[in-house]
Amino acid sequence: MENTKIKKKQKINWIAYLFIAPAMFFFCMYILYPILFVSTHSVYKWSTLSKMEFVGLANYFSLLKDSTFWTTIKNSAVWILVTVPIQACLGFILAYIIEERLGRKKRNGKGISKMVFRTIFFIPVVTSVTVVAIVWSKIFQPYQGILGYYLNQWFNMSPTINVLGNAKVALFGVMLANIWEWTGWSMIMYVGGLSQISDDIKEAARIDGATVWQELRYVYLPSLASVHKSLLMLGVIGSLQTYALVGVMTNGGPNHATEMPGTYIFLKGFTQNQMGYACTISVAILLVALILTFIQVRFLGSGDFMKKGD
Amino acid sequence: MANSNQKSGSRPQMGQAGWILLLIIATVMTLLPLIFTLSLSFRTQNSIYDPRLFVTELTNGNYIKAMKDNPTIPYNFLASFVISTVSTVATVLFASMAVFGFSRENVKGKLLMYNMIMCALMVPISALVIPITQLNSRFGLLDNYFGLIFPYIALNIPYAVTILQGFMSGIPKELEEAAIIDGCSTPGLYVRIVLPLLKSGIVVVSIWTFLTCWNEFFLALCTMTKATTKTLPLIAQQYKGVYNSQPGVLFAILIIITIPMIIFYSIVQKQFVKGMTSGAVKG
Repeated sequence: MENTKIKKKQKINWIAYLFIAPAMFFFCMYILYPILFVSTHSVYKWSTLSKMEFVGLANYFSLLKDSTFWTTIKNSAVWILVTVPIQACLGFILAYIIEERLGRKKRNGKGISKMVFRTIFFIPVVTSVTVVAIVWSKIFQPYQGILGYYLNQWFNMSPTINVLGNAKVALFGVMLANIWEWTGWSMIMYVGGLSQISDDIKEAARIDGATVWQELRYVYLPSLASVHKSLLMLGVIGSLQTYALVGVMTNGGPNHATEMPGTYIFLKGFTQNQMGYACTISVAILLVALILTFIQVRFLGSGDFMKKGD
Repeated sequence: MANSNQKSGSRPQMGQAGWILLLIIATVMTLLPLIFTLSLSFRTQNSIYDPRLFVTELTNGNYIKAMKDNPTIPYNFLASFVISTVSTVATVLFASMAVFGFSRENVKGKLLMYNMIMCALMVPISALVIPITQLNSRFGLLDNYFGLIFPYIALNIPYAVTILQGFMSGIPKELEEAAIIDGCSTPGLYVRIVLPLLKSGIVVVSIWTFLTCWNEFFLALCTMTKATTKTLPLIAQQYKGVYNSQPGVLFAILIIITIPMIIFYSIVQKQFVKGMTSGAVKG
């Protein structure tokens, strides 16, 4: 840390602070202050700032006994465990085929097909999230949606199948929409990662007669470690802040079965006007995020950041 | 690469055709919901409830009605566009400045500041909606573009800093030293040397930030209540209720909202992929 041995006393680089200042200002104003705000306001019972009643840790005790809150935690966990690996796998497969398999045959204009596929698979990402939610609600709708109809036509399943209305599977319906929307992002991240693997390594594996499977197992997947990590991080944070898909598709229902932290905070804070309690949920979610970050940094390393000691 | 063709032929495996088939299946899965939307948007009141993917009874009346009934849609486009663009430009500017500042020497506490911003990477927006809404109402920023722009900048800076940091550390120190010897001031160094070298990273950060802002829903829901300041994700949700009995019009509106983004991405995708493959993601 101490750079004293390199040079003698140097004066502080004030101009650098000016460069950092705007970012720090926005950080303090809209991230640090809000975190302090939810923490300090979670020990009050209030609906407007002018009428606050100190209740100590009462909100926290109610939170621990609140089964819906635990449902949101469980749903977030399921969401992470299901969507992150599936999106990563599908995204990787797509990126792998596009980058490593399409160009193999020498052909003029091979770049065009790559470009077309990359663009097509990214379209869901640029589609507005509420549009995605409405369209998938329609797909799942009994009698009117294409899913029930074609399952009935081809596999003779009941046309009354109501994915979003069934507490057991509704969350999976919403997650399917999420996977559809975000696989393209995983793909583009893997496209970026694949381009960083040197051709020499790929060529060496090929010359050694590695099978496709061995190539994937020993060359591609280990070289893409930092992409896996970034996707995991984005997936975790994404699941904790999921709001629009759930809010529009099921609004947390049926009977809170698809409630996520975001929708629950909105329900308590803005619909039921229990701002204090909503702040308590926010603090709990921040703690969960903190714990998950810690676990990731501890077991997977910090990726490219947090390790710069000099 | 020249003889890779023979090589792949010598191994028992899926040929080119197999891979292309997989891609085509994936393409169908990807486009199916959008084709369904397109199909719904051209249906008449009679055929709209038909669950089949394609029907023959079609009309363009939904689009005409959507445009005639909702003269505010251009304002919603404007709101989404201005908010996303300003947030993106400011995020890129402030994040690249910060990354440059962090790379300077003799900056006390820079590691602390850097790590604080990195921790913010994991802060979910849903947990901050209440205080940000309180801030906005105190500053009179509800129904104001800046009520969303300021928080969006703050929430996107951590990710932008992460990506740009990777590019910044790739800039050789000698280059900077040479510029300093040539009499380049610190701000000059940032503008003339560092910014151009961060270009690929900036493209990636810009597109990601733009997409996140364009799509953000939760905070927008709590901030925008006037018909003219609402962003596009909000009006999609709003029309879901309004056109409950005329789904055709709703789906026409969804298509109207979606098309510009697809065009936008088609235009920038080359730059975006170029940025991604030039080291935005460490391999």
